Amino acid sequence: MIRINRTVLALMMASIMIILSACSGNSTVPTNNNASTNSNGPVDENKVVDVSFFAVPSSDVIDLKTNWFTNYVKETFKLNIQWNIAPSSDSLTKQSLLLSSGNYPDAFWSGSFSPSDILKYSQQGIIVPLNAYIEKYAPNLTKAIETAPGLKQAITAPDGNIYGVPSYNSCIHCYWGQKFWINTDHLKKFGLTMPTTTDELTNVLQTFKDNGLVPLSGTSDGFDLTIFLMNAFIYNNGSDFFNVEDGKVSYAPVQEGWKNGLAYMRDLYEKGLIDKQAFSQKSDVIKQLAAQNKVGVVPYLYSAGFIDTANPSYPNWSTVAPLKGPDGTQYAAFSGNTPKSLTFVVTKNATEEQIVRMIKLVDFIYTPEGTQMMNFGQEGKYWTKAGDGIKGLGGEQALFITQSDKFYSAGAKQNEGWNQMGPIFQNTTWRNGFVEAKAPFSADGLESLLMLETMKNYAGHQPKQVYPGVIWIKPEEYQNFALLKTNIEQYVKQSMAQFINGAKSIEKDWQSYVDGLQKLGLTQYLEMAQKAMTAPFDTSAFQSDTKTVEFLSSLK
Amino acid sequence: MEKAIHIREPWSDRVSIVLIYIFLSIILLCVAYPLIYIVSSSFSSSAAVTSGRVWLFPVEPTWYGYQAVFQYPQIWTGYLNSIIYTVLGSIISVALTIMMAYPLSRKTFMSRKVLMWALLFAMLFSGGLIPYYLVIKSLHLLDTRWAMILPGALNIFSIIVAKTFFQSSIPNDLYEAAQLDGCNDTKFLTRIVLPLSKPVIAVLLLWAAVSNWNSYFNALIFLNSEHLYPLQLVLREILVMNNVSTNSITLSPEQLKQFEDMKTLLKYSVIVIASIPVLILYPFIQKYFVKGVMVGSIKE
Repeated sequence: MIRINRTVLALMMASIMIILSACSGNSTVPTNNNASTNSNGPVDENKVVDVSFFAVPSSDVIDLKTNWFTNYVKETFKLNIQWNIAPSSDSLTKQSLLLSSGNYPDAFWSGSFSPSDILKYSQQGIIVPLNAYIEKYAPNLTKAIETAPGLKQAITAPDGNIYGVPSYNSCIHCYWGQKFWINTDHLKKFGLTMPTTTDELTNVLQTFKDNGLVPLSGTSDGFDLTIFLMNAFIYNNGSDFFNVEDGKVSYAPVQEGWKNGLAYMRDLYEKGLIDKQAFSQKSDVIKQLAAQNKVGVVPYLYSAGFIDTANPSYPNWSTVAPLKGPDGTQYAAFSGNTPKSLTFVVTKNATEEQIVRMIKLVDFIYTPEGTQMMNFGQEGKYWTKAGDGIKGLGGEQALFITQSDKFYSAGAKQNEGWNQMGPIFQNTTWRNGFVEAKAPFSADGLESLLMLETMKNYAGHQPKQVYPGVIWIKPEEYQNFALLKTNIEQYVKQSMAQFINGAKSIEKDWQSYVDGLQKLGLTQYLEMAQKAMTAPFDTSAFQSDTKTVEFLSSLK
Repeated sequence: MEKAIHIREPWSDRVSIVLIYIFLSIILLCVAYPLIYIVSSSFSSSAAVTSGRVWLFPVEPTWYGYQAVFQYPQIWTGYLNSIIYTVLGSIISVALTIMMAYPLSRKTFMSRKVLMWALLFAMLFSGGLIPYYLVIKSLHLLDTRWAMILPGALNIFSIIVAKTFFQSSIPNDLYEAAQLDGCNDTKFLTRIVLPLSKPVIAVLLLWAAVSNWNSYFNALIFLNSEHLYPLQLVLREILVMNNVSTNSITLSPEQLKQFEDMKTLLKYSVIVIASIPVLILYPFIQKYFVKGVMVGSIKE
């Protein structure tokens, strides 16, 4: 007994010693270097300088420290990066903690800064303007700002300065991400045709139901079926519900069209044509239903998200084009209205020399080659340059052949590139050219399939003007705006569910619902939104392209 | 007592025993089924899991999920880190707790009321996240393993439990008797109190170990390097982040699909692997939960 006690005591003592030595001792001091190193002497171009980056690595990257592209940056841009890592699930918490504690790195490489964050931190002097550097050292970036749709709007603060660079991703299929996928095999089996109007959809769903299928399902953690349906009555962008007509902002959820849309959905729900679980279940359930071939229509970003590409019924899943409502309304929700946040900002800790090198790095990434290398690493490992005659997604000469199926296979790990971490520039040229176009329903033809379905059915179905994704509201007003926004949007969503499941009657309770919104401050909210919008976002550049559709359809 | 054995139990007792067994069986079922389901799913093919064909036993048995886990280096560094944090953190935590609780339990200790009040105050009120972060930063603990071990080492609730245990089960007479034989406070603590307090030490150890093993928030805010991440943070990364939503729209479809596939592949095997250490710990500690340590220690 006594001996045991001695060991316990010894352990206790040892642990105390460890604690004491750790407190007093030599633990590494976080890198808060520079500032003092800001000398005016001539800069040695070849000397590698240390720089600290906040970053949120993609989970397939083995180790950023030993990553090939990290090393490339060190050799080519003479920047030795000290990584300050945050897990993606909670990166925002960590970012704001670093900023409010004053313990921030030289740059946030893959942060997330909304316009009001930019205003707040620039006023506090924490983040610095980059215009002068961009003009002087970044020709590619300057060109991109002038030509890429929405980019200039997204990065220019009201004071005319540029405080950061976004991750620009011209993801055509995500812009019209609210898609309905239908199992065409079921259509054929029951002698139906693809629905084009709301009445036809009702009919199709009824037949599905009569034959024992779940006619139309949905998920609470993924894609909302109401957005697609509502767009046959009034434009619903699926995020802030703002509509713009002749430069005037209006709120869709108080319009007559919204009411009609609700009535339509109520009708479907009452007849049992919308799955009762659609608003509460998780996407796992949809996967099971789809794998068992028990569901007719599923709202989702892409069909491979709910059904395995190896499943024999995978090629049967096809998109439903936006439906025509009773009064001919036919919209598709569009979210391509500029990048909504900035990714890369530089803090006041950075020295002149560091900033110049970082801007040169960003400028390199703003070329197709740069983005390619940053994403996938060195040439020859996961990608090669495309030979003559190899066609990209748009039917034009491809730039690269990327083995994206290998790079992105489940559980794959790589230490070559940063995989879309930071200010990437994936414009249409890059996106259409980074892979060789493959037949849409082949295992590696996901890009082709989504491009084809989007171009064929959805592109161009948005209004001519939409509310911009980036609005600059002063930090002191922003809090109020955000509060109004949260309350109002929550009320809209909640009421929508109640109208659809019958807890509220559309005829009787509509007026009290509109009054309720007014009480929550809708008028003030709209005024603020109107004031914050300098110009509506022009969507005329986002149209369907028959050449692409023909090219992709011809692939076998 | 002798006679009672021969008496048949009355009907009402038998009925209630049967009812109790039925009730307990239902509870057992509720507790055991999710565990069995997860273990079975971890050995089934992911296609079978997603299509809902697994409900009790593995369908299309495969090691694929576990193979994938073995190829995932972060999980292993995370595992090692978690073990370090748990072992070291629990030992330090229990040692500190006892050193705090024992003086507080002695009536002869002068400032016990003030100290107790201070502890209770600290238990109920905290400075908030940013001051917490600044303290850790000023102690130069940021991005070190100590940030995972020290900040949570002293749990005030555990101190109160230990203090109450010492007070109620170590009689003052024992101290006086020891004192008469020439024993000072340190010796009394190490030679008499600790051997008599195995149950409470076991409880403290278990609490500290489980909370260390499960903690991720300190890691999230204090650690900046991936090689220091504990297992829970890696798991969170795999299981939470990969939910597809309209917010993750900058990702390409390939990447989204990769996340989805990886999630279904790793989910169950990773949960099983992460639960093993805690499951192992329980039976070893449970044997210390014995009553009657005090029997015969003192005669009145």
